Amino acid sequence: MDRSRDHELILRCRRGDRQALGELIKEYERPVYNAAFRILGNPDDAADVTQTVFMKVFERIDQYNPEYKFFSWIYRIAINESINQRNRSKDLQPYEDEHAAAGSDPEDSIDAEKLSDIIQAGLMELQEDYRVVVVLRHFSEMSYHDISGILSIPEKTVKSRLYSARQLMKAQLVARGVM
Amino acid sequence: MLNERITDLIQADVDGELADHDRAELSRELLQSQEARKFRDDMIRINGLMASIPSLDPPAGLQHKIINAIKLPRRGPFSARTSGWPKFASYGLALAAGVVMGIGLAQVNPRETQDLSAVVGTMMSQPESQQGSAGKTLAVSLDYVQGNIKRSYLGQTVALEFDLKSVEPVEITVDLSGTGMRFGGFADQDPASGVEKFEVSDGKVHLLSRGNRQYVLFLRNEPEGSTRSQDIGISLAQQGTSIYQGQLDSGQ
Repeated sequence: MDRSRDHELILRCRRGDRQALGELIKEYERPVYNAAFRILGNPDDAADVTQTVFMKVFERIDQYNPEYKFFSWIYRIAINESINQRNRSKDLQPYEDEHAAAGSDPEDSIDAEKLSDIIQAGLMELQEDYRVVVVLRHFSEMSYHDISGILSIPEKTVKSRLYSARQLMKAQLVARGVM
Repeated sequence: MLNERITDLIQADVDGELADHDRAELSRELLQSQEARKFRDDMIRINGLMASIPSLDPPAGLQHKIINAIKLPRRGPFSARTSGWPKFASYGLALAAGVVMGIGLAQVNPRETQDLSAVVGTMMSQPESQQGSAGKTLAVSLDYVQGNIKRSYLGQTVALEFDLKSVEPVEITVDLSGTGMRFGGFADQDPASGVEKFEVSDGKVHLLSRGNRQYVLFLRNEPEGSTRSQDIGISLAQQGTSIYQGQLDSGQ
């Protein structure tokens, strides 16, 4: 996420340069999709949100203020869209965690796919504001400062939500035999 | 039970955000407290588990689907301007309230700074009916700089109203040579995010501006007898390259 490179691409997009558009999408498609997936727990919804995020970004590209980081802006839209998508879903089925009861012995080896499912199930058990900070910190590798900016909350709140979320995750991972 | 201070330090440590000046305190605590060590180990374990989850590949074809769904503008980077430039009255109020004043005073020639104070006092005493008479306008419509620069009168003072929007920093030079005018003051609608640089030298005012900016440059007449045959030269440049040149009637 090179800020000056982003800025250059945005300028080119504003001129109608579709190659720059492609480069920006290529740069951010994966992180946006992954953040949306970790919040929503559903690949189809995450793909829909990813598309919506880019549509909104380029609809508002003239409004983008280059004094701010582009990635903060796009993540903010991604988080909001993910939450909106989650709220829109009529049938909020609990995340299907077929491995949730597996491995009661922490010494059992757990393959990556199974672990991923267990952690995703744990994430989906968290309340939304906790889940969002965990996703931004662990899956998007944002600093406290960046998370604070994206969510418009004080850094102290970021830390406190992370603390609570991790305690809850720990309890779930212990219950599922991962810790 | 660990107190919040210690859990904050441990969490910051495992997240790579521990300040250097807190490191000694955390080390002491970890040496003394088994509970702190246990908490830290748990945090490291949770972080490790999270980090072991691989990033997911977006669905094949999503990228093309998005690209094809997006229509980019075929014009310059800015949408049509819809908001108007506030009337002089609002500047008068702002000035009277002491909110708007002299950005970058430290960068202004000290001699000019004294003049600036005098001009502000004069402006505040202007009757409202004398404000905002019509002036000449330069319309700027470039790919990356759009807006206008308008010359008006505020009593005997000439005011150049800048209403410019630029993505990249734009260097603005107002050349007063031969106009019979000199720099008299400056007011920025939003001092907190105003111009990045402001200098007055050799009969020229230099500003560096970026974003959506609205400000006023006040000019006052030189004493009688000075040369006053030229128009006011306005030039814009980006990264040292001239992108626009225009002239405003000095109204002399």
